[in-house]
Amino acid sequence: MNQSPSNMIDHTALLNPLIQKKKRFLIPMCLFFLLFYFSLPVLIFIKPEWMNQAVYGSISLAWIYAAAQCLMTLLLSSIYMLRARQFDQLAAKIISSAESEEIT
Amino acid sequence: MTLSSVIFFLAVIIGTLAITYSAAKRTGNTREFYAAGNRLTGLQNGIAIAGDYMSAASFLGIAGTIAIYGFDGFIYAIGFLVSYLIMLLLIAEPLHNLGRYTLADAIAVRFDSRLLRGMIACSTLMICTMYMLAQLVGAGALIHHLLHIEYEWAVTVVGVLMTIYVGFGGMVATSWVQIIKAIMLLTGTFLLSLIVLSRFDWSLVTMFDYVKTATPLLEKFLQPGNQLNDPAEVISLHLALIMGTSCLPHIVSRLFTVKDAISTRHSIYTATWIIGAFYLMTIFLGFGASAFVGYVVLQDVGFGGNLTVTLLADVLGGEFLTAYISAVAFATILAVVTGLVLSASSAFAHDVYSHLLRKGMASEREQVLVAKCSSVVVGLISTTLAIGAEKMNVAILVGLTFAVAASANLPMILSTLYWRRFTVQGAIAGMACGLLASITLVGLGPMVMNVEHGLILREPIFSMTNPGLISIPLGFLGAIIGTYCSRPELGADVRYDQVLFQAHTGIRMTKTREQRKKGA
Repeated sequence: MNQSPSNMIDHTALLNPLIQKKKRFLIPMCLFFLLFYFSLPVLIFIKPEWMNQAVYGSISLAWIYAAAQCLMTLLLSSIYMLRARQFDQLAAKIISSAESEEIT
Repeated sequence: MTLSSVIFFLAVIIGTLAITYSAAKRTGNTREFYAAGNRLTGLQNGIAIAGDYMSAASFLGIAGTIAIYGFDGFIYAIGFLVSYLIMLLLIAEPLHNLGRYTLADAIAVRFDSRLLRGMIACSTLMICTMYMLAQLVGAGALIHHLLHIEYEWAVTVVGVLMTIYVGFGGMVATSWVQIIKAIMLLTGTFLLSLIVLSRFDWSLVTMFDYVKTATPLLEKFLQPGNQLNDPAEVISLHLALIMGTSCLPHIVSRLFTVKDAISTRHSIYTATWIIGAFYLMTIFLGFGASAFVGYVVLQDVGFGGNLTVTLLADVLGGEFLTAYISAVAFATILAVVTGLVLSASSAFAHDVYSHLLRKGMASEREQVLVAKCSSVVVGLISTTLAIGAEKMNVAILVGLTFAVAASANLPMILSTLYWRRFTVQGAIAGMACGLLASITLVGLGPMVMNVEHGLILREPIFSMTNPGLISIPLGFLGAIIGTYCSRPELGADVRYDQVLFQAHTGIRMTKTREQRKKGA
């Protein structure tokens, strides 16, 4: 598939909204999970007395916080899976317009 | 060696060889050999990724670390899992859309540089060989202990099997070996977890209460800090774990086995669930071992806790369960090393031979032949190295693997995908910096330099075991400096637009130098 530069500009114009949408979604997601993830070791070092507090029987906050990391991973990836459908629809539009241009 | 363990081991060997036989008829072209013809579904590929990823280190090692150090062992499990978010959100889909068979293919869409392709192939070969060596040495020791055959023979058996799977069955056989292993591993772990929980009247609280009194660490067992107590070291370990995983070449090469970005996304999502469920269950295995096998026995057996799970199976279910769990461990090792052989031979045959030496002029038949031959060579070299490395501390190799993947590959991959100003000089500088930094820092660190049992008997010059905290930023710094010290090539902006277009839609617009030559 060979694209002339003039076609490229049209595609970029179509692509931009998709990329902006992805950015608005992915940047906060990544910042959140990195902060949440690194808060575990940081809290363990600066507030060990919080983390060692028993919450339920002998299960301490540290264990619950650690298990919450697993849940966070599963939750965020599920949210992404749902959200990605919108990205797919946008991408499908771009693909079909690129293909129709190819034919003409 | 008991009859049941012989039967289980033979069943694994015969089953996987049968798969290879049926796959061998299909592997006549490169697309089949490297990417299983892009025929796998998201679900199949997801299970295979999980099978590729959950190494003996996680199955046996993490359970052992939890059994001995309590909370600190679980930290590793979390790092291994959370890293899949980086893979899912930032890396998997664009890489699938850009690449064909290897990581270097994906990067070449933006930077058509032979030097860069060579460097990526080198780092892939290095990571695969080191990781494979670690797995093979561990496997040899484990099988030696379980079946009482000589270490050399144990390594040879694993080495020959992995070479056969890849050499004859390519990616198709590799995928199915990994799928079967993942299912075996999950059922085995689930079974053991249920037995452990039943012993505690199905109550998590009872289990936590009991292990608090079961080990000499007493209540400290449930608290952080038994193994990891230096803040910088812990952050460094976490960084290497979550950044390194998404750039391991044998995982990246699995992204190319499905037909589109949506299936890639489903693959990673499936893998995340399987791996998450598995790592949560390692708590039960670890706690069960410290409660029922006993802390003293675990310490005495040695092997860095690697026999924990088989010992647990013995206590809970006797000979038959032990035989099954040992076979699971065997399948686990086989599946991981098979994935590594495949991606090492792809890097050599596809990147080095087809692109660098033959400049894209090799025929399809020639390429497949070279791919098969290089898998034999890779298998032979790593088996020989592993036999020689029996007494080596494999932790060095595993640490180095993750450090190199995180410091050399990740900055280059992320910048290629997301940074418009990035240049080929930046990519080369970033990889070189990350590679040099991680190797040098591990070399000067306490794993290599140690007064008592190091390769070099002296005080370490660099105090951290995991160099990630320093080497990952150095990799990024190299990429940034390299980029700003060079001018973007003519037309770099248009090229990046095309890369973005392809990465986000899957429509292939650019052609590499070789493809242009062929087409012309």
